[in-house]
Amino acid sequence: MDFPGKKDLLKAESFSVFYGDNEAVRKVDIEIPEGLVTAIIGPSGCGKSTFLRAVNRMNDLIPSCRAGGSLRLDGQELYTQGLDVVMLRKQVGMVFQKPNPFPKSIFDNIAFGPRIHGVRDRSKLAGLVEKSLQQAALWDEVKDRLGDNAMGLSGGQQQRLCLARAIAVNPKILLMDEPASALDPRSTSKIEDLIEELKGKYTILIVTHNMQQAARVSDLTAFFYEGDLIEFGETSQIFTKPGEKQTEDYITGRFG
Amino acid sequence: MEVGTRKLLDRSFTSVGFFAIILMGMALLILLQPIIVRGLKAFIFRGTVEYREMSLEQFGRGNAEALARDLDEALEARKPVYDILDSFEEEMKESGPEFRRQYRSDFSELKGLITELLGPREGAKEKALIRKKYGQTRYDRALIKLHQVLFVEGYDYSDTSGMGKSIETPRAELFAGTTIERLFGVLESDIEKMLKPKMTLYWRFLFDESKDAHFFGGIWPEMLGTLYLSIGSMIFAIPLGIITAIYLAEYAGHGKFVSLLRTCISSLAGVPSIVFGLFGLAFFINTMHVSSSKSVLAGSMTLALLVLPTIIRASEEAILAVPRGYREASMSLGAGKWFTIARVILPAALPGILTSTIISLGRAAGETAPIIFTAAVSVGKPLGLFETLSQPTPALPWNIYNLATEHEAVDEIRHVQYGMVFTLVAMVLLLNLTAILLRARITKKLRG
Repeated sequence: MDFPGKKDLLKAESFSVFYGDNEAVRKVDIEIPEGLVTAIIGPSGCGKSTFLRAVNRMNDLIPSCRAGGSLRLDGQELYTQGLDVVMLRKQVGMVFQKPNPFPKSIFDNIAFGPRIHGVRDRSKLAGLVEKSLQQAALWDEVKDRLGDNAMGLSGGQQQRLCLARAIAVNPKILLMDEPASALDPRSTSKIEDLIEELKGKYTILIVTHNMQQAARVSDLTAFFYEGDLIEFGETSQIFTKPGEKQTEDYITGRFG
Repeated sequence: MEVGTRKLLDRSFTSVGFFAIILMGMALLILLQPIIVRGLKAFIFRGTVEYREMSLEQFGRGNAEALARDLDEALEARKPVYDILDSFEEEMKESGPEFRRQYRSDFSELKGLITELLGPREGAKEKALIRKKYGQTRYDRALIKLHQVLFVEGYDYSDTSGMGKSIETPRAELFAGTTIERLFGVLESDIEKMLKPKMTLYWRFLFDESKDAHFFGGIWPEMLGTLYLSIGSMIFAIPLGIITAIYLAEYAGHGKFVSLLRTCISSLAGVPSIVFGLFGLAFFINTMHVSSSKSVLAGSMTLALLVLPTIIRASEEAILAVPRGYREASMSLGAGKWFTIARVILPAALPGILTSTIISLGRAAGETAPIIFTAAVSVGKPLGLFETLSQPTPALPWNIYNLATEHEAVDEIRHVQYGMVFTLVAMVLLLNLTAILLRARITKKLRG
């Protein structure tokens, strides 16, 4: 697919992910351009989260999981021997379905990533923390209590904290695995506003169950069904005149 | 089910639960009450003038002038007793051999008892054992001794179908018609003047060494030994236990061998403690030669083995209970496995690990069987830090057992035994309390 002026950041060629013998993602070809928001939609168990987690190799945590084909981030093949997973994950931030701040202070949460990657200087860390929290629109709410435990924040604040934590290492791409599904509508809309603001600075890949959300926040939408990539295109086009029957059935609520 | 029945069941279940709690509370009260009441008697009691004399001579404590005054008064009060004894001796000399034969043994028994009650008479030959140098130091013991002076205990075996019945006859009857008959009345009425009891707070019971195998003095060597052993066992058990727990929870996976290993660890927790004691003797002392004989070091290692299964299992549970989200978040930020464990998982699991550790600490402090063969002796000096590597030590649990069963004068020093029980229970309760507070603090810190 061609988007003028945008280079492809993430490129999958005949990429598959297996859990044991079960092929959860089946020979997917997709090119995700830089600087845009791409939504992945599809019914439960369609492989969208698995695909997302393949990008930062979080699937490695599952012993029976392996991958086939090629997945490249910025030209770098991800599934080769000798890939430095730490360096990969520095380039790929992730926000999870359930807010999962560490039971540490707000400051230490944000500084966790930079510290792993060798930032020790206190003033430099403080600067990073402030910048990240500002980008996540949380700075004004927490600037006076950076030393407080992050578990004391509300669910929505926690999720924005997790977002700030992810962007503190300045990743090339941000993965979001249903980032608003555990939140109330107000917090959800805040997260959506944030995605809007972060667009351009980061390439965002978001998995969502909520089709209105996908329609609201994304530039591109990919529809997965039973491990196959059925359709990939501009969001406006997918939601108004989908090219495939299955896509239409899904977005009109006939299944899923 | 009908609403009425359900309500009835619900209510009866509640009352059963309530009843169980009350029962537990009562059991606890019944258990703790004698421990506290009798245990405190080791610290607070009516000390006689003999106690104050002993205190000054053996420990160099107390006011010498006040003691001299008290002693003078006491000796003054005792004078009639000795006068009567002297006059009876005169009487024996003057009377015929018949009379002497009749009273000689009874009289010498009486004299012995009075010496035990009031201490050796002034000018008597210095005794070697400290316990022979003083009369009764505690007034409660003095009253019991007085009773022995006043009454002869005998047994009535006329009913052959059962055990002999204990019967007491006044000792005065033995000496009816002699000059000594007056003595018993004098003793009974003036005992307080002769011993001058005073309410005494002996808090140094905790920090004194014992004199003459616990006849006098305190329990410091025992307490110190218990501290050494419990802390020493933790030095071995905590690192080993936590490392094992991390391995089992994070690295071992779910293979057959690993599940066998888990089962073994669980079974180890059920092995009788005396077996650990014998193992410690056979392995640490006889095979590994960590010390030439019993030592605090060998005892600590044995106790560590005993508590290791508890620490491992509880720590593993605590590590596994850490939410998966923490792990994922840490990994997704590029942290390696070890960094994730050290910085995220262990701090979050800390309350659970800490709880198991403190429970184990209490257990190690109170265990008797494992240290019988590996560390404990019945009498000893307080050890210096480096002596623990090679020297055995007295310790509270073992010495409680020892005093209760093997001491030559168990009845005379019950108060020491109860004092030890009280101290041990207090120590363990204190440890648990610290644990609860610490845990609450950390949990609060983690929750925010």
